[in-house]
Amino acid sequence: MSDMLSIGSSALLAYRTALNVVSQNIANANTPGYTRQAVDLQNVAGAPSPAGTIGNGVQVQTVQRLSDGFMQQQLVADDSNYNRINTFQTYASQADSALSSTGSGLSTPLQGFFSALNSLSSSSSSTATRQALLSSAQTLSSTFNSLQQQLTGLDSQVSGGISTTVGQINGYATQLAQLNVSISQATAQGSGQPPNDLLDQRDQLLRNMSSDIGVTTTTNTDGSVNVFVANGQALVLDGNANSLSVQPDTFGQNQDIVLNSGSSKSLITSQVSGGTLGGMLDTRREVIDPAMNQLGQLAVTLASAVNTQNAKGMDQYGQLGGNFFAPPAVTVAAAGSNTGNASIGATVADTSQLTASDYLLKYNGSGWSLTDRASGASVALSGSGTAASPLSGAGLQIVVGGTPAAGDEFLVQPTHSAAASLQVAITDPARIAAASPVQVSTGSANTGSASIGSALVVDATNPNLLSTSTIQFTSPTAYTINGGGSYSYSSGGNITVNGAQVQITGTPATGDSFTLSANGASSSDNSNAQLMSNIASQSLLNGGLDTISSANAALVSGVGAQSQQAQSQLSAETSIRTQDQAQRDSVSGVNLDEEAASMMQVQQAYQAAAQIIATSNTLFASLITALQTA
Amino acid sequence: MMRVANSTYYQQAVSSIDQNQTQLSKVQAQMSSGLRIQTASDDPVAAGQVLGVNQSIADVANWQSNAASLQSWLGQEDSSLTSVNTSLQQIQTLALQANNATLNSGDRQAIATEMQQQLNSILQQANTQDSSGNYIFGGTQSGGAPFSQTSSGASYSGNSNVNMLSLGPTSEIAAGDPGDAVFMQLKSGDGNINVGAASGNTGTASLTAAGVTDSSQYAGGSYTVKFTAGQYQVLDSGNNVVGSGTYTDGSAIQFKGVSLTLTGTPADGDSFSVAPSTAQSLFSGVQNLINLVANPGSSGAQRAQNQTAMYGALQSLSGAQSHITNVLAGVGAREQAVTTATSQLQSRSTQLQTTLTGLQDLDYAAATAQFSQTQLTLQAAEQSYVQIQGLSLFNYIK
Repeated sequence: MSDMLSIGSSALLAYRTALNVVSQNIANANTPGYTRQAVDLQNVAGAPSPAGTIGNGVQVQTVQRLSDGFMQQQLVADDSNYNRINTFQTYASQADSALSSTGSGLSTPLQGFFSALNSLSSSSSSTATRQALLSSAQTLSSTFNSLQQQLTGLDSQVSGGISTTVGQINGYATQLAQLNVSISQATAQGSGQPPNDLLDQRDQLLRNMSSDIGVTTTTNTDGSVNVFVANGQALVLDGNANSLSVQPDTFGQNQDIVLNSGSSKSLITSQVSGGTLGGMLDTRREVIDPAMNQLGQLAVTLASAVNTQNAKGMDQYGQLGGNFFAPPAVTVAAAGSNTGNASIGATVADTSQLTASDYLLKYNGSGWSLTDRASGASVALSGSGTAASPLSGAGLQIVVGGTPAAGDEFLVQPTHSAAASLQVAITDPARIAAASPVQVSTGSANTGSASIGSALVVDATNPNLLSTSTIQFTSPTAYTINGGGSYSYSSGGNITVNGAQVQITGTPATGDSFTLSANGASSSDNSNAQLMSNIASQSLLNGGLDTISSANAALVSGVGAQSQQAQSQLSAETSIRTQDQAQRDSVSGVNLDEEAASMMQVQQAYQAAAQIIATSNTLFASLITALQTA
Repeated sequence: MMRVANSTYYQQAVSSIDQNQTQLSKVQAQMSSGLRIQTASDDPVAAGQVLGVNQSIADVANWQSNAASLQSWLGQEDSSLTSVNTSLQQIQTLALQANNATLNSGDRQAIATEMQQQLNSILQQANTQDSSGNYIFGGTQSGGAPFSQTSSGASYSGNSNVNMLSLGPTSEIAAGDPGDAVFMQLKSGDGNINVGAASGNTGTASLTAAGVTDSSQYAGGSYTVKFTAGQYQVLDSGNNVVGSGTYTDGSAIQFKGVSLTLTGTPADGDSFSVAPSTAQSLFSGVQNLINLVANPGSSGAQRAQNQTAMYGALQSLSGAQSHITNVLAGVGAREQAVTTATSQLQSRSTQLQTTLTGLQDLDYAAATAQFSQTQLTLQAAEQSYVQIQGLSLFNYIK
């Protein structure tokens, strides 16, 4: 009878445990990272007897955690990939809409500016037309400024995001180190029974962590994990957590990610991949910085082309034109590690050779070298670095002051902040140099049939550009300039006088003369406006491949392609992660119907076991009664 | 058999609802703007092309506006020069009318006054201003009127520049002609030579024809034809005799490729000079003619001198007429070029608009179909989730 009681009570205990496990499953049906549990029942062996072996009831062997290690690892990788591309896509699509929307993009203001220049060429002395050109130039420059601001805004969002994420990663690392300690203690104390719920917490923590930064993990036998980031640098080892920190890079520009392990620091910026952090670093490197530089390249090229042409013209006051746009400056930053006292001044000399790259200028003790910062490609440099012979390369001219030390390094950014500093320099519409500074006139006593075309300024810096010069024919085939020299004449050939170039066509008679002189104030001449409006169709960028508007189109469709690519990668990563999650849940997730069924099953068994106790009680009572009556 | 966890139902339903809603909002934005491309990421290649096509459309619009300006300027120049030509014809008619020995001096004065009015109207045309106040024959110099009247005609204070406007990437058309090329750079006589009677001539011989018959022989020298006792001698500038012969009334005297025909009787010692044409403005040519009409001289000898001078002045007048006609022909050719360019630009613009439509416009039929399909999918996802949520074994445990 005692056997029956003990068997019945072992069953009650076992099913009680089973009901607890079912309840735990139901309670955690919606807990992220929860792994469903099941009791592992085992029958208890009994002592052999002559009648055979009768078992001794049931016992719970263990509470099993139904997890799949492989799927778990897969999800850790999925989280990392998904969050990287999700972050990247978020920023890329913001950059894309800023650059490509008709409201905020460059293309409409560019068209407006060139149309206003064209209008200037058809009514060059009209103040209204000139005012309209200035307004459209201001619209254009403020569009450049605001696009740069939007990109800078994205960049500071990225900066803020990087700091926040690094803080979060450090928090996770600390929690995981503590959890590692708890897990190994629980494993030791539990005499082999796994601390299921701690393991769930560990797995969830790993997923959170990999959402922030790509990690690799190894699991120890006691259930604790080690976490490595970047190229295998340890972030968590057993109960010890290292930390990440953010510091400005050597040029004081962008953020560097540093892994602090005790007193040693290692720079892991370029090795971080995956997770939100990897996504933000990639966005900055692949989208924001290149877009700023390309925008700056457009601004520098536009300003330089318009300024150069404006300087070759004459304004309404009869003076040579000045800067139309304030020319954006090249920024140069010295490395914090420099030991010399050299200072670097850089200017853009040739916009057709200018690229959208940043450059590193290095001194090796005897000479300078220039490399593309992103690709590491070396750029040929000529010149010695003095003002008379500046270092020239990549369209830049670099003058070195002071004394550099070997190993000194400078970051040269010709375009990075150019779009922010583009401003219209002219405020007085009469200052627009629409006219040619040189007018031509035909001698009143000329008898030949030769005629002279408008003068083209080839050298606006010639000090005698505005002096009066006379081209006099000493015969139909030869001429003198200002009474000097004797040059042979061919119809339509270029004649250059004091920085201006004219063409005479037809047959001159001996004694015929043509005069070049300074154009007057308020001229209605449009030739310089005409040349300025030609800037729209000139292939000024990238070695003569792109016009300003086609380079803008390339920028817009480039960022658009990045955003589109990120969007399709995001869809792919989303469905991979969803599938893997479903796969994991098919093993580890809670199904409430299943739990309901097993609850009923266990409940019935429990009721049956209770019946055993009751029956045993009845049997015992019958025996007692029999003894009393006997 | 794959187990399905409750959370999987939830996640799948939510993600499919999300996806469909994103799709719906995208199609909705497309349908409300009529544009297939909302941002460049929708179709980066086409978005780049759209910017290129838009730039081309703006370029074409610029060229179209240039063509309109050119048309207005060239039209103005055309009508000015046409009325200059009319005035010149009028002057020619009047001069021929005046060149008649029967007219008395009052008649001649009246004709001269009329000619002077015509000259003034030419001067007015030469100082025509466009709608923005610029002188169309002043070159590119602004300020005062380029032509101002002088006693011998008019002087020019403009320059020889001319504004060009673009009608395409490589096509530039002159918006006008500089005033000096139109009115100033003309020549006296027939454009090659100018014959004058010496002021001391006492005979009645006067010029009836003069010209270069063989330009290979005429090298631009100056010559004097002298008469003595019915004979003539031709001397060059170094007083060398280059031709001689007997003078016959009405028959040509020829030397060095030049041919002169005189009528009347030269007195002994009378001479005629032959010189290369000199530069002369249209105004001074006409003014000269007017002066000749007004002062024909009283004696027979003076009349003969006047006739000779008149011959040269009429030659230069017809030279001026053909010069203006040539300039007009040039203006007409440019107007023609502008008209051709205008229609080309129009069809280019239409073509670009079609390209743009193809690149960026939404296919509404396809979009509407996609909208309804997405809407249907979304409804199905929502309904099925609600149905599945209602299914639970716990509902039956009482």
